[in-house]
Amino acid sequence: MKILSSYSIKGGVGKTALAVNLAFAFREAGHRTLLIDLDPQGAASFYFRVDSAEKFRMRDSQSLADGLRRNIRESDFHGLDIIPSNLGYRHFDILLDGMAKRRRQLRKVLEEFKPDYDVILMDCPPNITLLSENVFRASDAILVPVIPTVLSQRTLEQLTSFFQDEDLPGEMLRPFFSMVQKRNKMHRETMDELPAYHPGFLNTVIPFSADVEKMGIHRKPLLAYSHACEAAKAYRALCDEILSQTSP
Amino acid sequence: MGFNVEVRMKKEESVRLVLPGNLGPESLQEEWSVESHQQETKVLTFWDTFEWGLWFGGYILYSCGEVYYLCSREGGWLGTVLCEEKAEGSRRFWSDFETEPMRAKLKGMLGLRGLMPVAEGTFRLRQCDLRNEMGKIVCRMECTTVSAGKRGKEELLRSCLVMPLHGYETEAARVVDYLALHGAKTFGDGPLEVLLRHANREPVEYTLRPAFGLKTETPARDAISRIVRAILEIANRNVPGILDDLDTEFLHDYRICLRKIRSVLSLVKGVFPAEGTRRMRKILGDLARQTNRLRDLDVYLLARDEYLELLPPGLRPALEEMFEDFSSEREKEVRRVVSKLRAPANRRLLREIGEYFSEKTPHEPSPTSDLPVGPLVFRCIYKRYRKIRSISAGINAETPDEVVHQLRIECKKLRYLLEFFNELIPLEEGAAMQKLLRRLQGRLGEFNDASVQQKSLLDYWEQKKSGSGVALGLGGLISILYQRQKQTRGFIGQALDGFCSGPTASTFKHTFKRPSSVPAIKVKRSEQQ
Repeated sequence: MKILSSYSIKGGVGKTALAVNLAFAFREAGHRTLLIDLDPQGAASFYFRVDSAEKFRMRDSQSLADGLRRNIRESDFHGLDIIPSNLGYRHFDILLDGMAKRRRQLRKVLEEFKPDYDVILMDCPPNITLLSENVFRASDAILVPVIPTVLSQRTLEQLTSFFQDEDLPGEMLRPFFSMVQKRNKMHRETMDELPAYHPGFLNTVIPFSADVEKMGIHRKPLLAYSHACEAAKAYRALCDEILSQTSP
Repeated sequence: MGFNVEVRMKKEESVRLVLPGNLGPESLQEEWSVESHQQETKVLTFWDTFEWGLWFGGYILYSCGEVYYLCSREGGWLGTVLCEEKAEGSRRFWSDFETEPMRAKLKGMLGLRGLMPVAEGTFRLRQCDLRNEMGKIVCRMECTTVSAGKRGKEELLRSCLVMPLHGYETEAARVVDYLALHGAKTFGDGPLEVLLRHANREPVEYTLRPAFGLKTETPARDAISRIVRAILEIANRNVPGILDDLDTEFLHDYRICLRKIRSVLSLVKGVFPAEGTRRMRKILGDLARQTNRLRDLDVYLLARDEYLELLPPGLRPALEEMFEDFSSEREKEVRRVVSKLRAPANRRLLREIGEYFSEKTPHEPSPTSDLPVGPLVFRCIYKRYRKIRSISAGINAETPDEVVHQLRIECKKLRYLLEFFNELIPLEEGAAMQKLLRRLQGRLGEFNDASVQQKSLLDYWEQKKSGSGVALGLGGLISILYQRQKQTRGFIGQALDGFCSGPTASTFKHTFKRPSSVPAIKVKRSEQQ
């Protein structure tokens, strides 16, 4: 089982679109996939038409694992399950704070799902908290969407320094370009330069697409309603690239 | 395959319901939005053997298009598909299948039996999704209607499988409750049961050793008539399979039945008037004789691979020629036997036997007709056993083959008696005696086969007088069979020791020996036939 997370400090960069479509692509490739919507905004849950999760008590790692398991919902697509968002997740930090080995608790919890899934993909809230740190320590790779702009470049650098400061393994950071407009000169220039400073940069580029924005209308992953559009192909290519490097 | 993928994925939790005519997924529209997928129509042909080997083995074999599927049987419902094989052309025997899982599974259940279509049905399948107010699928259903034949219109069965989604089990339970409240049933005959009933077929356990419902005090004539009628019925059931030449076992069993009836008439003497008994035995002998050559050829051809394996590869082509001769002779022989069996004269003979032993046909009393069958046959059994003991006492390495052959015949007679009157024999003793006898018969059978086969190979050579290649192959095989025969001789001695030993003899004695109070019946030689 591989544990991946979709993460960015900055919002609006295509993080949830990545989580939703990548989860769908993994399932298409025959991997039993669990998507965990950790973002209290619950956009991923919304796309899958799943109600927010029932509240459950989070006293210790076992009750957390039980609560998550009780909230697993089968999506409309065989082989893809989702744990929907829950406003209670905002208390995750407090919970984790009270635990021993508080920075590594999540990994222990997720290990329990090993027999049932090949891939666990977490959609994370856009901030750096104790939960984010747990996510970093639980993940085998952290997928970071980067819009090729100066601001995004800055947040990627912030994240990289955080990893250095906290002694986290920087090679787990796997940035890739998201919402790319090829006609935009600044996008092109950033794309030429940035990967040189980040060895883990993935090759696949997700283009900007109006089809992706329609996910909110269709309330399903792009790959489920616009199978052959450029963005869909890009998500599938990204899935292949990840699989070729970290075979689940 | 697309069909019943769902069944396999969520089998443990899915609920199958038999639906009344007016109930379907549409009935659920008040609470859920029902999305129906395109209907899929499939024609399924179900296969089994005359003995229903697959059904009783707990499996269902069906073909759809050119693909055969073997699945587990859950009542009359199709369970999990265990293996499948694409087959261009037909499949009759397990060895006709090419994929190993299919061959391995079928071998034990089919044996020498051939497959025949037992039912055919049109399955119309429709997948439906039930969505909640958010548009999320909360339950899936697979609805199936079954009708007979290729384009059957009349619905014989409507059913649906309610398949819960993980995390939405409550919704699925509500669907089941709703349907159950409106007449759906969680039990009922499955598609195969329904189709079989429609085709007037019923899986029945097949046995050559039925129970006859005998009691010790049953009058002998009544008992023997019952045995004959039951076995004759089995013989008749085998005739259509011989006519279709579906497999070799129909003829084999038909011959066994004729032989058994003939035996029971001579083993328990004086039960019917002598003249009638003679006539019946003659008819049965004549009927069996018509099929002798065909059975011989079947035996050779079934042993083909075994024989070829015995020879070094260089000598095998020569033997192949012989088997080809046998094979073409068999074709002719089948035609001859079929025309004989179809001939009115033959059918009349079989009918004559039926009528002779019918409950309605009166016969003159005969010496043993009214005696209670128990003591009568126990005396026969004990006599037979003593005869076997006396023959076996004289058997050693120098005994001529004919004596061993005689011993084999005597054992067969005893075996038939133990089988026919099994219901009268104490269970434990009967089983122990039959086990020892079976072992002895096995050895005697091997000995006899090796000896008969040598002779028939020589006969073939006599007739054929073909090239030296064939001679070499035959010579090789005959010497192997001769060695085998000699080897078996030794084993017969061991098996005889078990069967004729003191403990077995005393079991026979205390089980079957007539108490002195029952007078011996003297049957005149003229009445013994």
